[in-house]
Amino acid sequence: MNNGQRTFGVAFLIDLLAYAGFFCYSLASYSASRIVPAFALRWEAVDALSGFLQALAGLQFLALAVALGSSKGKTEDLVQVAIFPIVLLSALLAAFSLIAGPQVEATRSSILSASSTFSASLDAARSALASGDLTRSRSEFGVCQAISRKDPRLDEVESRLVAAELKARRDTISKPVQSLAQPKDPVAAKDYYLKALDFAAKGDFFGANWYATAAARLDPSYTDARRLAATSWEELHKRGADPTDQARAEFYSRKLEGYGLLNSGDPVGAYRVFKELSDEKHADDPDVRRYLAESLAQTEKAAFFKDEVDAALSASIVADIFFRVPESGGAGKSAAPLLRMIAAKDAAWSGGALYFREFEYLEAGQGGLRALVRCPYAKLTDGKAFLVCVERDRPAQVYKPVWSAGPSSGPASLVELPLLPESAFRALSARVEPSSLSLVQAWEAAGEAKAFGIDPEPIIGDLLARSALPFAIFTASALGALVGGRFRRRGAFPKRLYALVPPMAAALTPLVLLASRIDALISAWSLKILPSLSSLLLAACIRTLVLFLAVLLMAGARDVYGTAAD
Amino acid sequence: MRVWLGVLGRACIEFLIILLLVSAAATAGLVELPSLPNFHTITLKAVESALELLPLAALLTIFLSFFSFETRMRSRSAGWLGLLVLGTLLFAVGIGMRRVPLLQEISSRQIGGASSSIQLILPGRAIQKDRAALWIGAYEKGEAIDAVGVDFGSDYPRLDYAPRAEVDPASGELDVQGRNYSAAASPPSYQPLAPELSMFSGSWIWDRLAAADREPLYVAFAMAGGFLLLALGLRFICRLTSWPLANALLAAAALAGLAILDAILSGPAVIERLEALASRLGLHLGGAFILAGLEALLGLTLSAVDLATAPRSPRRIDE
Repeated sequence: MNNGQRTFGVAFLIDLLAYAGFFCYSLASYSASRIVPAFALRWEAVDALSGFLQALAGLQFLALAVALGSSKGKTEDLVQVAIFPIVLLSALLAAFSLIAGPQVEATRSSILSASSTFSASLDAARSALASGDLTRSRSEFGVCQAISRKDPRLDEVESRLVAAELKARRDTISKPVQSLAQPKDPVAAKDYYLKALDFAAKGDFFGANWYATAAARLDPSYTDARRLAATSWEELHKRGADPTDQARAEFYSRKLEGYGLLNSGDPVGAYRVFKELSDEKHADDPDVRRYLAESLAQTEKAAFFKDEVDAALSASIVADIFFRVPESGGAGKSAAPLLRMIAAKDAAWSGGALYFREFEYLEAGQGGLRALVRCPYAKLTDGKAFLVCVERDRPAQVYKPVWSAGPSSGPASLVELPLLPESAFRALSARVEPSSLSLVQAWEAAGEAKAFGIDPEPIIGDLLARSALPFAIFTASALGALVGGRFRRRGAFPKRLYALVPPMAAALTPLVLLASRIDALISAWSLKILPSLSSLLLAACIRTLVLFLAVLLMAGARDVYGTAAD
Repeated sequence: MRVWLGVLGRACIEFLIILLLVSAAATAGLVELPSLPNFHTITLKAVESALELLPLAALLTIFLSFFSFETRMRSRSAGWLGLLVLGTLLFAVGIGMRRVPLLQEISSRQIGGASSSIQLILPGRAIQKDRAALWIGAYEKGEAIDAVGVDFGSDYPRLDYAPRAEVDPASGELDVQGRNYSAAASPPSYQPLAPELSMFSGSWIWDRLAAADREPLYVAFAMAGGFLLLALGLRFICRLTSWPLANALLAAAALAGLAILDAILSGPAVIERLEALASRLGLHLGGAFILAGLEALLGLTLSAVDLATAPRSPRRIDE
């Protein structure tokens, strides 16, 4: 093996051992209360890789110092032979750090946030269960299931929750009179009666019967309604319906209710009815099938399902959301600019849409506050923020928005926003965790930051830190080769001396810390002199100068002991 | 003797280069000022840093010279003596320079000056401090226009809005819908090169020597002397193993360890115990002298053991 191959081999081995060391550390420091067990192995792998990438420049210094410091020959010859492997190795590692770094950080932060969401939701599910708020408990439990379905901590909560829900259902069934009791509403009863007359005139006796029955239920003293209910039922009977079949009658009535809701523009209510019918052994009925699909399609246009949010929470998630909705191109020049701000507990990106929890939207103009809406969940897609969220399996559970002011225009169930979910998520990630974005995304986010009302300095600072790593790797390589050659052992190199490499790595830590602080100063000064993306160029110039000096020193390396007697 | 003087001369040049680099790095700390510093400020800071960090540069030079004397001098005691002369010279120059009236005046000047008014966050940029984020549309006559705040640490709902909110000029605080937010801009974050010693109650040797400017000269010399002798006691590290590279890296770690050990020993709790112990033995000395004595004793013992036991290297330039 020649010195070039040896340099490459030693460096690779040291990098491999370092990664193994970081992995063992992650393994030893793992805590199930911090990271959900389902992510344990992935967490340990990326955490170790993150530590490895942070220490890469120092490792490269050590690797080349060890490789050259344990080689035979003259220093100048060794350095000359090692130049090609040094450059190749440095280029490979620099490329690896630039490509893998953001992905590692993104995975790391998503595991951390998903685990923290899981823990928070599990606590919330337990406390809601204890306080008897079964809806909230089920909702938080759904979040936990979406993140880690097989977590053993969920079994205990699920069994208690199911038992509580069964008990609550039993209590409801045992008190039918109380639950069915409705307040008297003669005005609504009159409206229903008129609709029933309308249906009867059209020959639609199903409709006439349903509305007349509803009117009679709302106002029991309404004799016309009761009479119409009876005559329309008789008509149905004449046309083949069996008035003794109470279940069938109820089924028709429910079907009609769902149909009515769909026609009156309440697809969520219609979906709830048809979903219940589908679950009640009527899934084969062609009307139920048809209107369930139709109401689902309509619901998806006006609202979204909670399981979408839950699924998104197990993917990419960003906490502490606060940004300004950028002005749309044409509106800003003609009209007075609108202030539109969005705040949320967190946001998750999934399937081309952005999902928010504890969403708040504010719109203000010259006349002050124009709109302020709050909702537990929101979905941003195709220039619209949907504010109504439905539980797919329990459609009765609907999360609706609460408008403190407005809406200034359009329906109350959504807000029109000139916002692409992808660029919004990029801006949000850039504000909270810029290191999780790829180089191109971070560059774009730095340009867009101002429009989103976000401070671009942290993003540029992150780009400066990232661009420093390739320079640091090359400089560390040059200095490592210099030090290795300068402090080379004369004569044969006993293999037992390699046992000193771990303490040498530990001894290098203060120097690496010092170098990283000096590097941070270069970034800080560049940003101070040119507080824009141009600072990247300035920092690159300074770092190139430092690298040039290191290469110059390496090129001038000579034996201090005189000619070696190897 | 020629080699001995040669190594000494070379060490002095190394010292000047190190001092220059250390001062430049410390001067770079001016980045924490709110605006770009002018040339005058930079010069003042550079002189102040050079005076303050001279002991650190001396320490680095001494550790580098361990290897120079080791590789070039046959006599180990002559090498030790050379290091003592070098250290005494550098520390004496450092202490003496700090007492020159002109340089004293420079180092006592306040660099950058305290800002008279508070810096407010830029309009149109959301800034988050801890869990509270604030966005301000503009400033007008001491008022923030379109102030939007959100406190993520509080319960939902948490978004606050005020079309106009008065900003307290002293603190930069403003009231947005009954909740208090701060519009004061945070100073630029800067990590000093040497970490803060918050975990110990003691201080770095260069800070202690700088603080001893008003003390009599012998106090500063005693502190520097004790530290120097302890540093010389660590000379054995440059031949700890048969691999020079390992020795060099271990020496770098030892240098950091020495500075930390000295800082720990200089803490009031340790000094108090040392004083109590000394008074029991009938020695009524100040804490600085006891610490210097302890360090000197430890250093001399290590040096004596090293000189007595270390094998002689067969390859030396002066052989």
